[in-house]
Amino acid sequence: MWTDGPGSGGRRGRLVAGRAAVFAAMTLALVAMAGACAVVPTTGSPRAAEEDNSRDTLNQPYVRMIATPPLKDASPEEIVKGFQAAMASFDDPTLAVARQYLTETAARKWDPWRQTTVFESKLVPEGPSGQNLQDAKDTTVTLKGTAVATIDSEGRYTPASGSVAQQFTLARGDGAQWRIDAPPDARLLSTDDLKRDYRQVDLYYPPATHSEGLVVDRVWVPINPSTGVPETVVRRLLAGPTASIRNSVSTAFPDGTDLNQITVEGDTVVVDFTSPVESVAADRIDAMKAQLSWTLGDLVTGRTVEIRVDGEAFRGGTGLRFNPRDYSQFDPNVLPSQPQSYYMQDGKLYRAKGEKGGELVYGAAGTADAKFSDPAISGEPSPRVAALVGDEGVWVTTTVLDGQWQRWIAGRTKNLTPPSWDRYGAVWTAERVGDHETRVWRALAGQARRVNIGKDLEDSRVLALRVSRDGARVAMITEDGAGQAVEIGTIVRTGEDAAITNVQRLDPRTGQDIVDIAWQDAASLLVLSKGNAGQELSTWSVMEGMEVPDAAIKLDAQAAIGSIVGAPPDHVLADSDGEVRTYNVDKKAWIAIAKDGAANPVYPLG
Amino acid sequence: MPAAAPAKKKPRRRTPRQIARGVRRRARRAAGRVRRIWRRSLQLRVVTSTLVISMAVVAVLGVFLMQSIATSVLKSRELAAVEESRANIATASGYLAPQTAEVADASPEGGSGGQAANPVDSAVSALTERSGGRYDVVVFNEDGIGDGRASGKIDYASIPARLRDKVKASEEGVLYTQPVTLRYLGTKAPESGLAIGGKVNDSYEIYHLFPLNSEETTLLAVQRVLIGVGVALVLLLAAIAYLVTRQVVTPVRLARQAAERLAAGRLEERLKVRGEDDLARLATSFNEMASNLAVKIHQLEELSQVQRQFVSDVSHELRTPLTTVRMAADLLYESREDFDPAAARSAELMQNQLERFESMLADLLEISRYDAGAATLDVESVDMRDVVLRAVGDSEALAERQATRFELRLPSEHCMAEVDSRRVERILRNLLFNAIEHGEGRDIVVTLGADRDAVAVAVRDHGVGLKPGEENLVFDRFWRGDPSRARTIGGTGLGLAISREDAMLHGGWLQAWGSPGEGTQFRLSLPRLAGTELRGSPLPLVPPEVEIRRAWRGHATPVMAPAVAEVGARSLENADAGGFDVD
Repeated sequence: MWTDGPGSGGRRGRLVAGRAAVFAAMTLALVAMAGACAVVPTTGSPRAAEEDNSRDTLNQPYVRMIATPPLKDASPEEIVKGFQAAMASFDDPTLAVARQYLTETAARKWDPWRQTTVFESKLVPEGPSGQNLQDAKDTTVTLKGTAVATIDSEGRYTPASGSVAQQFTLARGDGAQWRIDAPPDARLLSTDDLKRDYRQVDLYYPPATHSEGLVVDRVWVPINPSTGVPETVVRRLLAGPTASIRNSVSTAFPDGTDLNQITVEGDTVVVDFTSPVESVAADRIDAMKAQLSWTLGDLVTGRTVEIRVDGEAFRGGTGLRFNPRDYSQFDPNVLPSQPQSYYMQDGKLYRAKGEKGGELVYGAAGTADAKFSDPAISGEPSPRVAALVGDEGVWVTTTVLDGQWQRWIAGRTKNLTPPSWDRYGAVWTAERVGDHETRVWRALAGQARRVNIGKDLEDSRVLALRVSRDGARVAMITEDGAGQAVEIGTIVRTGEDAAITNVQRLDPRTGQDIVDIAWQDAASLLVLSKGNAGQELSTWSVMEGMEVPDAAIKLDAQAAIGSIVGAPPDHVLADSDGEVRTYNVDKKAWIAIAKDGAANPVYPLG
Repeated sequence: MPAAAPAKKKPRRRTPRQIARGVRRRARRAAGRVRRIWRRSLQLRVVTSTLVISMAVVAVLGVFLMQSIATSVLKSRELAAVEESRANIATASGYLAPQTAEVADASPEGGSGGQAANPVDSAVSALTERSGGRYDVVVFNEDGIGDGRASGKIDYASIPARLRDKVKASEEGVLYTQPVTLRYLGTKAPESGLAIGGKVNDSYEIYHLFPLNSEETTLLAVQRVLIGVGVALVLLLAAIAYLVTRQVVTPVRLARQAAERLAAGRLEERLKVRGEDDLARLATSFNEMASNLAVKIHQLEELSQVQRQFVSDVSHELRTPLTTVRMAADLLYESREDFDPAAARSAELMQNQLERFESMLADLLEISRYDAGAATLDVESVDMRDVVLRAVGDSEALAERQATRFELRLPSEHCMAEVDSRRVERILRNLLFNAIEHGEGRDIVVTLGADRDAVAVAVRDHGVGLKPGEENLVFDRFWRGDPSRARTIGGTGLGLAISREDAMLHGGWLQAWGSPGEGTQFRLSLPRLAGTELRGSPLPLVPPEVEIRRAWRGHATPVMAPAVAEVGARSLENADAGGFDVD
């Protein structure tokens, strides 16, 4: 009885507390219910916005072809048409559906990966006319069309022309169905198919000399529908550069690196590689990041990129995250988006200031003490000027006060082409020696060395030589017996020496004068030519060997342009009638920036 | 039990059957325990039924709610999807109009160079651009070769054949929809979605595949919330039921415990009254009942106390005049030869009745001493055989008068016990007198038996016996078996009552057995050591020969009968061997 008293009192106290708690809970619930009556809130305090990260924002929507197996009792033309359609489907890498259009032996032997041939749209199969197909054992169907290009297995685009007639021999297969017996060992695509299934991709590789910067390699890759564009591009990047620049670039990715997948987490693009990527040398990590940033390009603009290894952080650290913006100094075009331009006036070099004339540069180039012409500006922050001075070869001066001319390459001016800087601080020029030999010089810090060139180039006459801004290619106007042509060569640097290899003719047209060439950016070249219809300015994609269709800049038919220069993305300067003019893309018109005898505009490099 | 034998040899190895049996046994035991708890706990039953019922209600409500939410969410999504599909199909039909195809067909001859792209490509590109990745578009054309297109990573096999058949057979402008699983090329996981298909320009089938994963996520979240709320609700209801029943059950339990204590004799037990509700009134009534009972019991106790005191006082008070009367009667009795025969006879009668009166008074006093709790034991270690012999010797004279012989069966060795020999002798005397009185002159068997803990004396007569139910009545005060029969020996009617009190004072038993026509047997069992508890008796209450006869009469199986007879015979033999005649 004694112990009962306080115990019961305590229990009562707890009970009271419990009741209060229940009451409070019920009140809260009622308030919550009353609040829930308003389903969509109309007021509230501002807070950080939540995002749905599950959407795949990296892949742009695209369209693919559906491969359909051959219809029963299809005519030979239908079989060929269906085969064409099935070849254009990239869903299945083994092309199993396309092989259903072939006879069994042909299906086993058919190898469509060596080369892709692109035709003009709408190839119409033409069957043999008049043949009685009812009893025929075999027949032939011809596809007639215009060839556009071929794409080789590593994605290099080579223009082609001329009409092509592709013959297909058909035979009766199982169940008396027509099947193709002799397919071409190539994948036949129309330009529609190419547009739909391929992407033009710029791959970026650091130069083989391990210096800073990147070199562009433009290829065409088929989109793998199961992985999407970004993964296709990165896989192609890992597969290495095309044969044309293989010797002049190296990749920062270690051998054996493969891509697992690319995912998007918020505003981070996660690129997941296999473990060999961890063996990258410490001084190559930046190059690797730059390669990835530049190759993914627009896909990662404004986002962060993270490199992972098999889903784990790179080398187990805090993760290899970077902003692609931080790698803009690897720009293969080197120049800023508003590059400084220069021009010659009264034998002196001026620095252009907008559209209001310019000011003299410092140093020897800003004076008329020595007569010089054809200046070239280097890409350094405080640029140097190389020019043909007097009759004594290529001289170089700085643009600081009291900068003096120094001779870098000796030679007679009339035998030398105008100098061209490369991004590594070397001056290039070609020299005509005698009547039948051409030498190319490359001078670094005043020391000129001969560049190895092929026999063909040695025998031809080089009228102009321009080193591309990424320093990997050289564009030349050559003249042989047949006429003038633009040729592109790849620069291979080994130690102190350099060589020009893989010289390709860019413009297949003949019988026209090339007035001037200038690099627009690392991949495209401006060609000023003079034909029967007057002067023409065209832009060429040097790695595809084709003219960029929409980039044509209209020229005044009467204006006689002496020289042009270009700078990325679309700056073009030309001199004409004693004025230096710039092309305004928006207005589609030429605007003078310097008058009164101004000539010879220059952009740094190129 | 062949299974038990190996199990004994290898106690660690148990056969599966044994394990199963063990499990079953344990399960049965657990089930029994649960059933017991279930039967005993009102609270458990109430809480369980509340749980079950509320679970059913919550489940039904939840399913209904979930279905209606899902229907409304998916319906609105489907309507939006159909609207978008219809707009897209209208756009596509513009691209795919037949005249466009003619132009396209004409273009190769014209050689204009494919500026007009394939209409299917244009149409699907337009739709895909419009979709912005929110959904995928698939186009089939059974009539045209190379006119099939798909957008993004969608696997066009996601479109079920049944939907395609429907669409193929449909009129233009009719849309069909079907829920599907959207599969994708590559590593993207399949998801649930909605396929909407329509026919354009007689041959093109355009399908729109809308993923429903955001709706699925919403519905899953709603489902999770519903399940959570449902579980919480059920638990809450169970807790409420628990609390409510606790409020009812706890006072009832307290009342039960109080009633139990009251029944155990603790009359001061009361319930706490809290509040004025029904349970409080129950407690009040219980308390009133308890106090009334206590008062009544107290009154009765007092009354019986008064009565006992009265008997004791009366006996005491009667003794003094009786002594005087006795002296006078002795005087008259001794000089009875001098009286005339009638007077002498009166004197003898008076003497006899006075003796009886005296003994009755003594018995009354003895009884009242027991009632007052004043009886004490004078324990000493004695040989029970001597005690029996002394009692038999005291009864010899009376037996001879009734022409009754005693048959003694005593063990041959000492049979020591810590008893009050005076009281035990009195018990035995009472039993013997009783046997002689009701034995009708037949032999009386007195058996003394002993084991490690106890000794027992059985007195057997072969008189009229007892009727069923009289075995306990014989110990009542002043009880007589046949009221018409006269008391030949002149017992007071208190003898057996006193004997039982004596036996109980020793911590022993005094029991009677009787059967009509077979006689009676009284058995006195006493512990050998004073103060120890008696657990069993060395002698049977029912005489062995009666037991044997019953066995014979009952189911006399040839196997059992000799064994029993043998046992019976042996016990008789033993008894004979241990007994000896006393004259």
